[in-house]
Amino acid sequence: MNQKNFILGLPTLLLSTILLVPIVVMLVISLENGMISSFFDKSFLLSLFLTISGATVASLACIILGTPAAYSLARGYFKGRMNTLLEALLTSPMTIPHVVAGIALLITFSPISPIHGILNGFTIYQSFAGITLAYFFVSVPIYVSSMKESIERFDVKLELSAQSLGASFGRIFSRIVVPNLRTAIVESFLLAWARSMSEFGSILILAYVVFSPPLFNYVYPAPVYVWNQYETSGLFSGLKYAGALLLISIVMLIILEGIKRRR
Amino acid sequence: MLELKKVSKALGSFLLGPVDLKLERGIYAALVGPNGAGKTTLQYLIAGFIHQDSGEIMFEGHDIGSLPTDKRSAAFVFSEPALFPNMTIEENLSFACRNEKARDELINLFSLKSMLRKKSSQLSAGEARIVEIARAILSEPSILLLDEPFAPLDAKNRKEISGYLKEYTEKRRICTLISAHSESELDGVDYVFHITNGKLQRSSI
Repeated sequence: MNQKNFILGLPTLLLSTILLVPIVVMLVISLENGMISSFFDKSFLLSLFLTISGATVASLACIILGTPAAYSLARGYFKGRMNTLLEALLTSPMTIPHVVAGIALLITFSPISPIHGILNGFTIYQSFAGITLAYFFVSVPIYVSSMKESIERFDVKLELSAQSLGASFGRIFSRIVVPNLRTAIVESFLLAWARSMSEFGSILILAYVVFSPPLFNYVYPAPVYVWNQYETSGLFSGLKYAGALLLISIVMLIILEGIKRRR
Repeated sequence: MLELKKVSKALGSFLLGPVDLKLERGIYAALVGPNGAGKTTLQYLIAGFIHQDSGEIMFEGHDIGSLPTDKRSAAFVFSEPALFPNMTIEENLSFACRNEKARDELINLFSLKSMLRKKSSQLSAGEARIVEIARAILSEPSILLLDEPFAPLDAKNRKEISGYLKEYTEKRRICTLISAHSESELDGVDYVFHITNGKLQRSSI
């Protein structure tokens, strides 16, 4: 083995093996233990539906609020320290333990918080709004960071050129910036979506079970459902559902790679 | 008249100005200087892409130095390609167009018909530059700023486009300021402003 292979090739192969082996082992064993049947389990499908719809709504909210925010950070709309401060603020939930994020959201909307009064008693605890808010809270920093990088790479000359042609900011944003960043928006959306799908810590606090009739009557979010199965019925029961979740994550990863290759 | 009064701008260790410049309407002028002399910086200041540290930028007696770029009526053609890649050439032209008849005339004059349905990535550098110049003209600016516009053009196109720019400048009574490395790249300009190390001098030809 030459020096280059030893320094670069070996660690990369080792790392790939460390990451790949548990995934393959789990997929194989969960397949042998009824993973496919979990896709016919009505209560698990309802859990999946809850998680997927919450993640989708949260990720769409990321697009609506996160895209302008990422643009303002990338183009230095806020000057000097304010820009740095806002960037730190918008990305800080990435460093907060997610259980802490869940408690923070819970307390913010609880009766002891002034927000509760302003919202006229609207509760997020164990509701679809709660799970969506938790997903949004943990995924929007990822969306903003990813979009900010893409906007920074986007040629500012195109915007300046359009400005000099007399175009308003709204026209430039909707006709030039957004269409040219379409792939980046989809990619960042999927990142935020995947992050939401894997969230466990904050929803354990905020929406362990969701009661938002008529769609969701005491439905567990998918990761909580898997955890419950593991806790109450043992490893093999949890395994088939965990395998199904893993399969969905792999499909997402393949879609993400496909989009990246099209760029 | 476009008038710059004691305009200066510091960019790191580089200092442009103070620049005093007067450009009458209908005059086709050029800024000539080596790389790093301040040609592009001066054009950026007029376009409003960056703001002067001191001095005034006036057009027809009005201070445009504090206006945002889209309110200055100063169309800019970059030295590097800046066509909108998500649009066809036709859409690029329509984006700026304020007069359908003028657009059709320009399409014929600049022989752009065969390119209209193409995307910018399908054009050569020279073709893209001609489209960019046409797009800037279609926005009907009062000030036309072109940063090294002729670099990707062959001699024939350079002469034709330059001739058209001179004619258009006189006819529409706008101020046109192009930049170039040397006078040999120019054709038919009314004035040449020489710029070196951020300092401006004027000479006429």
